[in-house]
Formats: sequence, C-alpha cells, structure tokens
Amino acid sequence: MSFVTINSASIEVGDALKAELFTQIKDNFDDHETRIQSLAAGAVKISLINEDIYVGSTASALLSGVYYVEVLQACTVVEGSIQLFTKSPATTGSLVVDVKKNTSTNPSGFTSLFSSAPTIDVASVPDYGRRTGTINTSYQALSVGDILRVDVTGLPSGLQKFRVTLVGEL
Amino acid sequence: MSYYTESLKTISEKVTLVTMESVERAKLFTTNGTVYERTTDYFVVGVKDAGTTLTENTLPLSNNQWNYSPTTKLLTIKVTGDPKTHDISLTYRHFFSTAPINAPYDLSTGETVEWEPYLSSIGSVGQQLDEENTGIVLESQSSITLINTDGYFDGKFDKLIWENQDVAFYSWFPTTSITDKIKLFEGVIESKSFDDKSVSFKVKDFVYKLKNFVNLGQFSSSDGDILPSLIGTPKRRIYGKADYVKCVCLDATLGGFDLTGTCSGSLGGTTITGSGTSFTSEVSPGDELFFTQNETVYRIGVEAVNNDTSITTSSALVISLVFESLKNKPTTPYRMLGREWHVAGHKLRESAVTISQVKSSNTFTVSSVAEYEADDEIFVNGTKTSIRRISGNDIVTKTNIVPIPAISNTISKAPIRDVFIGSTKLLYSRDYTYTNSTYSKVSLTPLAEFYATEQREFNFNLTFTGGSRSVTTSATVDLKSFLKPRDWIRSTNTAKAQWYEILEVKEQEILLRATFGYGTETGGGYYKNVEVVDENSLVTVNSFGMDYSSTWMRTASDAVRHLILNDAEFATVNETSFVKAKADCDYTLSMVIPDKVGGKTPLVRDIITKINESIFGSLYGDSAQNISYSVFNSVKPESLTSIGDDDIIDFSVSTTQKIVNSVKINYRPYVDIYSKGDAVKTLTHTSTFVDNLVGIKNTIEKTVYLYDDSDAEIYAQRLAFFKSLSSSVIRLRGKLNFAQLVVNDKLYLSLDRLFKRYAGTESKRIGVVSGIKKDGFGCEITVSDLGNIYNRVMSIAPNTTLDYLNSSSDDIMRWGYIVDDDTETPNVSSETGLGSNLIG
Repeated sequence: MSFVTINSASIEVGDALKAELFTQIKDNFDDHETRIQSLAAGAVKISLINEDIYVGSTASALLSGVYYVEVLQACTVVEGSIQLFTKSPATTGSLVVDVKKNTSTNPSGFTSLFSSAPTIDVASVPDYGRRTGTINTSYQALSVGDILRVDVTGLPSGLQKFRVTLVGEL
Repeated sequence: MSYYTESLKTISEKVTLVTMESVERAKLFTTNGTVYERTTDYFVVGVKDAGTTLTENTLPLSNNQWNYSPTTKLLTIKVTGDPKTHDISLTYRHFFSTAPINAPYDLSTGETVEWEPYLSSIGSVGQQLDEENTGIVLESQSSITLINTDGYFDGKFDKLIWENQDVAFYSWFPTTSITDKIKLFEGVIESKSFDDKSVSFKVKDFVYKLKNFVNLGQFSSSDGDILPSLIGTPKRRIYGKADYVKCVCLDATLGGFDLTGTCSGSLGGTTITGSGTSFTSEVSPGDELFFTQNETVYRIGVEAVNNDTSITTSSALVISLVFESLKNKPTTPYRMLGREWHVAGHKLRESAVTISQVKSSNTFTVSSVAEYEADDEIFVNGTKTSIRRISGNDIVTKTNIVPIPAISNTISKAPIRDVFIGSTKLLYSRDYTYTNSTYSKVSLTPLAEFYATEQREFNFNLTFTGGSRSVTTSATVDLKSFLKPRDWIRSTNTAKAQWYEILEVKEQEILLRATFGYGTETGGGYYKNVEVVDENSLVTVNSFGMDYSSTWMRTASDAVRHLILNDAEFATVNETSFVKAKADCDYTLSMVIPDKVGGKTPLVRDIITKINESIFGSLYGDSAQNISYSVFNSVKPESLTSIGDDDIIDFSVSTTQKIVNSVKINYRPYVDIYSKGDAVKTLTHTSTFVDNLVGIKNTIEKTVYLYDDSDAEIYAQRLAFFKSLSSSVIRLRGKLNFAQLVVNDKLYLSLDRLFKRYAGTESKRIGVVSGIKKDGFGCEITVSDLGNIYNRVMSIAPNTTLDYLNSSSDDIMRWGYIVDDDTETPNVSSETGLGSNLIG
C-alpha cells in the first residue's frame, strides 16, 4: 500500500487508539521499507582503486606504499582483489597485497581494510587469475579525505606486474 | 441448554462421572483361525505385549493388533504364536457416576456403556499459579470414594492393578448433551484403600511427571579419555544461544599417553633405543616414561632426547626392555592431545537457507530470514561475511561476494560461532573445526595454540646452525628465562622464516625438535611462548542451542515443549497454546543445563520453572486438561468473560504489598575467560514512578536465562512495573458456572462492592485467573490484577470505539486514548484518567 498521510484529526487528544491508526502506521512503514529496498538494490558502486602495479623485474624486497589514493566520496568498501597478468618468469611464491587506510599520509596509523588480504599463489593460479580478499567489516567505512595505501606484503620472485581493485558502495 | 446456562440455575441436577483404568495380565485365549479371542469382564482400552503397546484396529487384524467389541465383550488379538508365550497385559476402563446412566464410553460419540452408580464423592481439584502468574501450577491431589456396601469391589480391589493408571473426573448436567460435559481433572491413581463400605483412591494430576530428571545422557569412558571426576556426570544441553560455554576434554592425557613404536634397553644402561618411535615430537627432557610388567610399574626419567629413536635416561635402567610399549607422562602437555572438546550432548542449530534470487553481489533473496539478523556472521556459498541489514526476505551482506553466488547456493550460520582457549580467540579452519551431529564437539588443530599466540622478538642475536637442531647465543642471557620446551622460535630473516618447535632449553643453547632447514644464520629471532592445551585448560565456545527435529530450540515455548515431550514423556501437549506463547514472547533463551560442567542432572520441573521466571511463562492444564503454555501479557481480548454480583456466592479481596523501586537482573550466564569463574551479565532498572510517588526504597534481584540485552531490559521494566503498586487478589466463590475457567483466563469483574483502583474510574477491573478449585458441586477461583496493570497499560482499540468523552466506562477501562502532552489525560479538564491506559 502506498504512503498515506495520517490525518491529524485521528490523533487528537481523547481519540481512541484505534487499530486502523496502527494499520496505517504499519502500511506507511512497509511502504518506506519497500522504497528503501528498491534504493538499496540499486546502490551505486564506485571504483576506489583500479590500478596496474608495475614493480619491475628487479623488485625483490616487499614494497610498502606502492600506490596512494585519497577518498573523495564517503562509502563502504565491499570488495578488494588482485589479478595477475602473465606471471612468467615467476613460478613459486605468493603475491599478497594489502590495502590500508589512514586519515593522512603519515606512515603511522594505517589500518588494513582486510581481515585476510587477497593472495595469489603463482604456482597454483594461472595467468590472469584473480583472487579476492576478506574485507574487515570493522574498518570498511571510508570517509572523505581518507588516504588509501597499497602495500605489497608478498611478492613472488620475478613477478613484474599485477592489478589491484577496490570497490566501494555508496 | 448449555453447561454454563444450566450451572447458573438455582436448582439443577448435577452428575459427576469418573473413568478409572486398571491393568491385568492375560495368558489364555482361544484360537480362531489366525487370531486369538477372549471374553473380558471389563471394557478394554489398551493391550500391551511385554510393555510394548499393540495397535487397536478394526477386524481383520494384522500382527501386533487388537480389537474389542463392547457389545459382545470379545477381545481379539493377533501376535506371533500363541499369546500364552507372550507377556500380554490388558488395560481396562471402568465407568462410575453419581447416578445410573448409559453414555458413550468416551463421553463423545463412542459405544454406549453403563456408568455404574458407585461414585460416592470426589475431592476438590485445582490449579494455582504464583503471584505473578508464572511458573508451573502446583501439583494437585484429590480422591475418589466409591460405594462398596454390596461388595462390588471385593473381587477387583487387589486382583487388578490400579496404581499409576489413568483417571479422569467430569461434571455433567443430564439436561444437556453429554458432549457438554466439563473435565474437572485428569491424572493417575496414586494409592488405594478398602473397607466394607467404601473403596477410596488417592489421585494426582499431570504435574507429578515433571519430577522426571532431564534426560541429558552421561559421560562415560566410551566418549573418550575423560577426567575421572566427570565420568557419570551429565552432558550439557543448550537452549537458545550461549556465550563462553565451558567444554569437556575428550582426549585427556590423564596418567600418560602411549608412545608410538616399541622401546628396548639394557639392564643397568642409560639408553633407550626405539623402533618406529617419534621421540623428538612425543618426548621432552624431564618427562617420565613408564610401563607395567608382572603388576609392577617401572618408571624411567628422561635426561635427553637424542633423536627420534634414542633417549638418554636420567638413571640406570633397573630392568631390561625388549620391544616394550611405553607410556609417557609429560612434564609439558603434549600438543597432539587435548584436541577434542565436547560442547553439548545434542546437535546444535546450524541454520541454512537457499538463495532464490541474486539481486546484486551483496543482496540475496532467501526463502526465510527468521533465524538471521543484522551483524550475524554468515557463509554465503562458503565465503564468510556478515549481514548489513535484512529487508523482507532479502539479506544484504556487508561485503560483495566474489564470485557472485548462484540461485540455489546456500547461506548458512556456523553452529559454533567462536572458540576460545583461555582468553584467546581462535580462527575457524586454521585453529579448529567442529562436529555437529547427535552431539557437538570442537576439534583443535595440532597448531591451534601456536597460531593463536602472539610472537615476540629477542633483543639479542641467535645463531641458527644449518642442518643442526642446536640454536645458540653468545649474549649474556639465560635462555631458560625466555623459553620452555614446546615454545617456538624462528629467525627474523624473512628468507628463513620457518618456525621450529623447541625440545629443550639450556642457559645459552636451544635444542629444536627438527633440524634447521636453511644455511647457518646469525641474527635476530622471534619466539612464541605457547601454553599447550591439556584437559585442565579452559576451552569455551559461543554457540547456538539445540536443534531438535530440524527446529532451533530457541524460545521459552520451544524449550518447555521439548522438555515436556522429551524429558517428562508426555505424549501430547496443547500445540496451539505453545504456538501462541512463542508469538507472544519471541525472546531468545540463554540456558545451559546443567549450569556447570560436572553439575547434577536437574529435574524437568526445576528447569521449566527457571524458564518461566525468565519470561513470565506458566504451564498449566487447559479445560480439557491438556498441557498448555502461556506467556503473560497485557493484551485485553475484545470479548471478556464478565463476572457480576449474580454470578458469585461471595467474594473477598486481599492486597499484597511487594513494591520495589529497583530491579536488578542477572542474565546470560557465562564463564569469565579471564577469571575462569562463573559470571552473569547484569542490569538495573529503577522505577521513577515508585521513587516519585511511593518513595519505597527496595530492590529485587532476579536471574533470568535470556540472551539479548534488550530482552533483559524489557523484563526488568516489566517486573518493575508489576512491583510498582500493590496487587489485589480477589477470591470468588461460585457454583459450577466457573467450571469452564482455567488459569490464565482473563476476566472482567463488575462487582458493586469492589473498591476503585489507582488510575481507574470505576470499581470494575480486569484480572487474570491465578487459581481455581472445583469439585462436582461448586468452584472457587482467585483472580489477580497484578498490580492493576490492566488499567495502566494501553491497548489498541477496535475501530468502532468512540472518543474518550463518548466512550462507556467499560471501554475506557480497556482501551487506550490519546492524552494531552501536559495534563497527560485524554480530557484536559479532568484528572480522572491520569496514569491510566493511555498514551500521549
């Protein structure tokens, strides 16, 4: 039933609290819920990070802060993943990429968005394979001005290029 | 003419009817083709073979069936072979009344039988709830006296077995249909007495069955290696959901564990040589090995573990070992034991629903969301996430699910939500798995403690020697102050990051249980001080409660019904009442039975009482004496039974004052993982009404078995509301016009002499029946107004209700009206309705 304005005359002092009044209130709530549901179903997804990371053939040490980006729209992180291109010459080891947030670029205070960072074992994942991390729901809310930092915490020897994506929902 | 209208007459003929059952063994039957027959003296209502009930059926019979013809009094049975080779017993029903009548044996549409006029009298029967209309009706006892002046019972009294057999009383007016009779009582015969003029039977109602113990099952050696003190103690049952439930170790080390392989050693020597042994993982220096030979126990101290097949003993062997199987009593717990932990002696609820529509990568439509709520941790097609919100039958998760699930994939909740070793939370799959079938247990992985322990860093250098088990330091430190056997260390070099378990610690040397698998490394080191779990550790879980017949035993209604049918062994209950009780009170319980590991098995009655006190619930017999359940609430039915002056013989009112201004609620019992002691959550609610108007300073403390904070808060507020005014209990004595009432019925009292209550405009009032006593001739009921709550709680009015100024006094007493924000009355020029059943 669509929304109906409750008539002030039915809630004047001394009026009985009739069942029809509560039915009207319930119908209005149900109508609102239906509209919210409809809006939620069409919730806008935004791309927070969608970058190719090139570490080069000589990269061997783990890399903290290979990419920084500022959040321009408050949102909730709902998905984070990494994807291989051709993995050759890498044959063993795991690519692990963490994305952390902070209110500034100050290295102190960055918190991971993942409870389990996206990981690719190059021995078992084929070229162009993609893996998704587990979002830590305690830290998934982003505010305007938050800084996101991409850390490579596991890098198979020889791997030169991969893609990082992070998706938010408004 | 109905029972009620007849009961109001000044003079009316009343008949009391009694059915009693008895049992007799039967051996001799006459064969008739494939069946056996016998003529009986009494009406047969049941046949058993060695205690197993045979099925009543119409002729022709199949095996293990029987048939009785009241007309011919012929009993026909069919069992395998001659009944004389069986242990057949017959249950008879006897029919007595205060006047000679012929009526159906079932007082309905069954075969007509003669009701013998031997009934002299019945004692009064009744039900009574406590002052808050909660709990279980008190066990009621009564009696039957039958006339025996003609010796009718001489041949029956001891020949038939009467004890523990069913009995029922009825009241009936012969001017009405027999189907209009009222059942006054249903129970069993407790004892009997006999003299030349009468026979008397003492009887008791259904409540006695609640004295059964809860059927929990007990721990035995077949469950595993359990601490001896816990053998024979009850397994635990969980209703609703519970946090920090203490578990019982099923693979305890106890006196020691069997070593893998066999051992040999020479008399007087100090070396034990193993065959197929794993000394480096199973033994540590300081452990005590032992074996029994010729009823003598030989104990061997371990000085050093040299490798998997060689041990140096701390003293010379006093007996030679030849491929002997040894046990080890370790000084440090062995991490392959203490892995299995019993949670409950039943299956836990493991909710699962199927996705019927995928609306987006984080919105899924399912068939039912009844067991899901926001923030629940769930698995969507195996991927762990949590619920952001639920809308209709849509579950919206906090994260996208990749890959996107398909229709018919599953959304589920794990039955065990969290596992803790001490205060350390474990991670599913890495640290533990679970079994959930006819019982539930947690299985810790061999490295659970290792993963769950935080790593630390040495502030000095170590030398890890390649290919060796030795790790040394040149620093001036005592390594024993940092480490102990079964701790773990690793190099800080990320290229040599393997962790190693420690076998032995000396002042400046550490022996590993495996050789260092890299080249020699000198540098920093990390370590973990691991507290290995053993049978004395505290392992707790947060879990959902019992799954019974694919239903979560979550609410009070679920739990009480389960206890009644499963533990008290009732065959049926008034299902409608339990469904309504669940709708009236949807609170999730948090109850673990027994409340402590190793505790005593409680009685069904005691558990139901605790549940009832947690939700204002009551268990009673309805008008047909079926077990019924009700949760007290303030709902006022549109149509109420009205009691006026003409309906009663007399009445009296007593008032009890138990007013409190503060209610302290203990709820959701748990084990404190820090102090390891039993604990409860608590909250306190203060009544501003009592503080401002009454001024009494008094606190009541209650323990309730509820899980949710909000439910406990509501309970506290309701109890404070009950206890904010004195309660009136009205005793009404009438004729049989009250015979159809049962406890928990709500009544509308309109008596001329009733005094006005607080916030009432009339001396009329609404109350609830808290007790009833009846015999074949009259009734007495007690009605409580429970602190006058019915006058003070607003109710939704029918659409035809007029506004306050034009409503009748009856309507004003029952329904809610909108009040002025300032005067708090529905009539701004009158204080009459102040504080009554209204909202502003």
